[in-house]
Amino acid sequence: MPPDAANTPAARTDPADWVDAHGDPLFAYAMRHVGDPELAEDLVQETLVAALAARESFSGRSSERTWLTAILKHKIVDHIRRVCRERANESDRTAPEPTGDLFDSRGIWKKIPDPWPMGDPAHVLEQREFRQVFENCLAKMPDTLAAAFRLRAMDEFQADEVCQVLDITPTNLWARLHRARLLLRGCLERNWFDGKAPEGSL
Amino acid sequence: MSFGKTIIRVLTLSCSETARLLSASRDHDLPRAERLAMRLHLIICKACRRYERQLALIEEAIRRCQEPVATTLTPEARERLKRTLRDP
Repeated sequence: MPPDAANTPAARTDPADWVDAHGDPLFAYAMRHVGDPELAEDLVQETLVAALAARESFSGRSSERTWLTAILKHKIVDHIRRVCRERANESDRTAPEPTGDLFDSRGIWKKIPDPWPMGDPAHVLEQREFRQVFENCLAKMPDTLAAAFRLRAMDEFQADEVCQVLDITPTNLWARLHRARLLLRGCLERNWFDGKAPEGSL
Repeated sequence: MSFGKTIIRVLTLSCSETARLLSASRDHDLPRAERLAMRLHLIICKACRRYERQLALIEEAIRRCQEPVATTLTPEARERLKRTLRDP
């Protein structure tokens, strides 16, 4: 193997080697954005198949990993677009007052947020189950909200990129994120923080 | 916004508007009057202060668990992918 094997253009490597060399990082990247292992695997597969078809055009100027990740990012964006378009067609486009169920007519919290344990966030948050609860909460949210929240919060997409992906205005994005945050807060409180708050915490 | 209007905004801001502004301030800069109104509301409202801290905690949580639940392909998935690539 030549010493610069790591930089060998994809055109000259065995595509099946991509799975060992890049499979896990690509899968982890997809998981961050879609949260569902089956779907993430499908997206990685679509990515590798697309890469296989296009590998003659891979210049080798960027690394193989960068090239594959860029393809995967497109696949994720396409997927999110598709899902959101389907959901938008299913449900009434005229959304109800987005927070009417959480605040009374004077705009006061119907149910005041409970205190959460605020000791050492690292301790609370690094527990494995937190991630699962968080994913479950996102899964329960309307897809259009979860997609916006995921894209934004996972921080790989700037707000204007999210708007482009979802084909919405900034105002619409802010409204969705606001709604998503309120729902996520309530869901985490019911499923994670409920009853775990020690005395005197805020 | 005139000074008088700013004052009225500050004095009449509701919890639901504050919650919206707290969220908005994470996505873009707020106009000065709104930022001021939000800050003053937070001084007098414990519930909204709680919401503010919880939003921060949620973002912290997401930063800390960037690693998803499953980070690696299962051996079966790996085999499926290799088969697809060898015989697309």
